Amino acid sequence: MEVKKFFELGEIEEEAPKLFGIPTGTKLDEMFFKIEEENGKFVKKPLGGIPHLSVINITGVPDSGKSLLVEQFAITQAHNNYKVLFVTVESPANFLYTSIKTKVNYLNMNLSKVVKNIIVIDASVNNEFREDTRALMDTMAHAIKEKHISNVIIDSITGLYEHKEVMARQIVRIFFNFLKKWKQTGIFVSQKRSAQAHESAEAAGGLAVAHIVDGTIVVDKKLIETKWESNFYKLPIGSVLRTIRIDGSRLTGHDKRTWVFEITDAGTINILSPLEEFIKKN
Amino acid sequence: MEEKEEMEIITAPIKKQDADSLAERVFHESIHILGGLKKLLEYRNLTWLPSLAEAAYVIILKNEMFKTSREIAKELGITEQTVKNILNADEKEVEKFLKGEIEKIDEHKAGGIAKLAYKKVKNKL
Repeated sequence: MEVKKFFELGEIEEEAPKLFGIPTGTKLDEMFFKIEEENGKFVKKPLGGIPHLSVINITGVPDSGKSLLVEQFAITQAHNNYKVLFVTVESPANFLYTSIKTKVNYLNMNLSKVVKNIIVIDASVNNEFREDTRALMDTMAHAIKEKHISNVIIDSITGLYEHKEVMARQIVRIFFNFLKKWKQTGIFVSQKRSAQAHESAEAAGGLAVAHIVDGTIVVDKKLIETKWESNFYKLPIGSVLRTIRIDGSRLTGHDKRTWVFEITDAGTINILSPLEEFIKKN
Repeated sequence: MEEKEEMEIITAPIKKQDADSLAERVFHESIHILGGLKKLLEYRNLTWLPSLAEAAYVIILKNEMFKTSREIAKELGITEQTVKNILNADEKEVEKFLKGEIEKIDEHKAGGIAKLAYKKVKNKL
């Protein structure tokens, strides 16, 4: 049988994914939106999460809240009875467990239900996972198939090419295609390098990650160091202003503003208000 | 009853070829336990081979791939009861039977032999 090499766009209508959100358990769910026609007018409607079957990249400087954000996403999905595959490349699985347990208790969720729905691949300890892309993908495929996974988190994708950043584009592309093939909604966490602008989508490996994925979310933190900053943001010197911004999304519309967020004592993400309103209010 | 609060953690790569090659090693070791292929041929026991192959896969899928009896049965196209018989076989009883210490056993013989073989394979790894 001859394999069809090209299609008319209309022919793949049935294969086109439906547009809806996969909740993150944060205000990000309202920051992605779709446009629908209502009474002859086009109106913006919140998507309710990150776009279904998208692969989103979260980047930011160290300790900006990237891992906390993906953990909250995992917990939210697991609590809603969707299986999550969490590939932990940075933090060993036992530390991840403690972090998840604290958040689950704080959010008053059912721990048994949440942990039952999160399958972890601990690539932080086993070198083979980090060095052998094929071994990691075979294991991920096995878990996705056997455990009926619908969401995949890789924290961090940078950890898979840490000492070979020249390979970043290739590795990110392989995992991006892998998640598309297995029809997964995915989040990659990317580290930033010191020379990279904090607020940009650029991450380790340059702009490779941002170019390949469906969208990028940038988290940032700013230490209030000068009197001017203190007056401007109305925050005491030495405090930290945390911000989050959807840098881009090729699948849906999104809020383009920079938002202020806080990390609660239990390590959950609480997005407060757009930066401009935060400054006005303060 | 207290609910389990354990997260499933995969700590080593799982590759399909690993399961296949391990099952083959268990199968070979099972033949070795029985005295080799020649002995099976001499005693006209070659019909044991399909059961040994089946049992080797069941043991590997259970112990290395962490599959349930139902999943194993589905994957190998055998009944769930056969899987359970293999997994529940008392290898010590089977060993005594092979040594001629007891005349008759009710255990799944291939299951017991595959379990003995699996232990030997694991010790060699």
